[in-house]
Amino acid sequence: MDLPEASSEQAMRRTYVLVLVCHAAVITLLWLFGHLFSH
Amino acid sequence: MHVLDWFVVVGYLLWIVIDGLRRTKRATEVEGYFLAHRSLPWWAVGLSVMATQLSAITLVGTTGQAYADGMRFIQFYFGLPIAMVILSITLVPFFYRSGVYTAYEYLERRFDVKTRTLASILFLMGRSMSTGAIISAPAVILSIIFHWNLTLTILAIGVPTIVYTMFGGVQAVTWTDVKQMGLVVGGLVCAVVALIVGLPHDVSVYRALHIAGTAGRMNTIDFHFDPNQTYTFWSGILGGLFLHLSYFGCDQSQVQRYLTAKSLNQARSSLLMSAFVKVPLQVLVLMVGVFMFLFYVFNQPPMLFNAQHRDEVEHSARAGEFHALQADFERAFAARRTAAAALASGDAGDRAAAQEAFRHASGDMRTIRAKASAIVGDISGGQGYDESTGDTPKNDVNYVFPTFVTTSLPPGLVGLIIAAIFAAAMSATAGELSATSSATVMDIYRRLIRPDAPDAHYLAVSRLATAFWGVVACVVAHVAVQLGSLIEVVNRIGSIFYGSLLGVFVLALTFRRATGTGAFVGLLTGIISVVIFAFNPSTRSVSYLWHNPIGVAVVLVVGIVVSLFTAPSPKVGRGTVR
Repeated sequence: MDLPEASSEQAMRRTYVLVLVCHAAVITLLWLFGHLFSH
Repeated sequence: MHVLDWFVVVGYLLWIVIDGLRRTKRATEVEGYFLAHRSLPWWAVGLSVMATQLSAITLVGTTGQAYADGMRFIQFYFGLPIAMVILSITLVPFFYRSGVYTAYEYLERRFDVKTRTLASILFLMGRSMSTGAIISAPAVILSIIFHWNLTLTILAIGVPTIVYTMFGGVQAVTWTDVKQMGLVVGGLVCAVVALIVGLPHDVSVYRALHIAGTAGRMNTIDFHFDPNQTYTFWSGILGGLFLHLSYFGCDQSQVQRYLTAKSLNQARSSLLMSAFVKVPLQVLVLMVGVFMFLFYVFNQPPMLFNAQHRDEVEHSARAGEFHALQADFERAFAARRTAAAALASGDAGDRAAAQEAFRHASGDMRTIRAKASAIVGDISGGQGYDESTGDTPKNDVNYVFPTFVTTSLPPGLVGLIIAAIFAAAMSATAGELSATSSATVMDIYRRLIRPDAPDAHYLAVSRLATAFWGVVACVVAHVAVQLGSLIEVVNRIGSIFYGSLLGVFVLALTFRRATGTGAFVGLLTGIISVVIFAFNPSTRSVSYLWHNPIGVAVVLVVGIVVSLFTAPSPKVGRGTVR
C-alpha cells in the first residue's frame, strides 16, 4: 500500500467511525423524541 | 384533477424522459451502458442508491403505516448504517477491484459457473416480482383515487421508464434518479409544511405531537425482544442489518449503482451517504404520516379510505348497515376531536380525563372501522380487510396519503406530489430494469448462450432485455394488487431470497475451504429453508426480518459441511479475505 492510498484508507476509517457515532446519536435522539411525546 | 396539476404531472413525465436521454454519453458500448465507464461522481451515485431504494411504496405505504401505527417502522432502518460500513470494508473493494459487471460474476471467480447462474436466477426471480409491486403500488392507488384506467396508469409509469432506461442505460438512470430524488424530497417537505400549516390555529406543533403520543404514534423504539413483533429495536438492528447487507451487497440493482463510481473510495462514499441520510429521510417520511394522523384528528376522516370499495358497499344490500356505522363513526370522531382540543389546551387539571376520553373515542373509531372493513371484505372480496395495521385495515393503509393529497391540498401542490409519487416509482423501476438487464445479459446470455459476439450485439440484446423486463414488470404489476401493505409485500418477497444470497457471499469471503458444490448446495438449501419457514403455519407469524439471518445461517452451515466432504475447486482461495 503506497502513502496516498494509506492516508485515504485512514480517512475512510475515520468516516466509518463517524457514521457509527452519528447513527448512535440519531437512535438516542429518536428514543428521546419518542419518550418526550409519549409520556 | 385540476388543469394545473395535469400540467405539472405531464410536464414532469416529458422532462424526465428527454433529460434522461440528453444526459447519456457513450452508451454505445456495453461498459458505458451498464457501468457508465465507471465515471460517475459519488454524490450522484449516492442519490441514485437512495432513489432506487425509495420507491412509491415508501411514499404511499410508509406514510400510511405511520398514520395507522406511528413511528415504530423507523426501527427497520437501524441496521442500514452498520451494513454500509461493513460493506464498504468487505464486499465493495472486491467488486470494484475485480472489474465485474454483476455481483454474481464474482461468485464464478470464487466458486463456479453453476453458483453464479443460480444466484443470478434467484435475483431475477425476486426482482421481476418486486419490480411489478413497485409499479402497481402507485398505479392501483392513483387509478382508484382519480378513476383512471389501471392499465393506462401502469403504462404511464412503465413506458417512459422503459424508454429512457432502454436507450440511455445506467447513466440515464443515475441522472434521472438525482432529479427524481430532489422532486421526492421536495414533495415530502411541502406535504409536512402543508400539514403543519393545516393544524388548528390554537394547536401548537408541540401540543399536537403530544396528542400523537397519546394515540401511540410517537413510539419510536421498542426494546422488547419479541420475534413475532415485526418492528422492534432488535429486529431492526439484527434482522435489518442482514437484510441491508444482503440488499446493498448482493442485489445487483444496488451493486450496479456503486460499480459506476469513479473510484473505489467514491463507490464507498456513495454508500456511506445513505448511512448518514437514510434514517433522517425516513423520519421525514414517517412524520408526514404522523402529521396526517393529526390532520384527521381535527378534520373528519373517511371511515375507510379506499373509495372504490366504499362505493361497492354503498350500492349493495348492506348499505344501510354501513351508513349506520358511518353515523357512529362520525359521533366517535366528534368525541375524539373534543378530547383532542382539551388535550391541546394544556390545562393540566383536565389532562388525565381528556387523555382517557381521547383513547376511549379512538378505541370506538377502531372498532367501528373494523366492523366496516368486515362488511367491505364480504362485499368486495378484497384481501387484507380481516387484518389491520395499527388501527386501520391493512388494505386501507395505502390509500391514506393519496386521499389526503387529493382532498386537502391546493392545486399545483397536488400535481407536485403526484409527480413525486411517479418519480419515486420510476426511479426505483429504472434501477431494477437496468440491473435485471445486466444480470440477464452478462450472467446468462453472454456467459452461457453466446460468449463470443461483438460488443454491438450485446448492446442490442441488453436493450431488448431492458424492454423485456419492463414488460414483465408491467404484467406483474396487474397481479400484485391486493396484497395488503405494499411495502411489506416487497420486503417479504426480498427476504425470501436475500438472506441466502448474502450467505453465499459470506461463505465466499470468510471460508477459504468452501467449494463450488458446497456453495451451490448451501444456497439452494437456504432458499428452501426460508420458504418453508416463511409459509409454515407454526412459524409464519415470525417477523420476515428474521428470514435474513436464518437464510445466512443455513447457507453457512450447509455450505461449510458440504465443502468439507467435496473436493476443492482449482480456484479455491481466490477472492477470499486473507
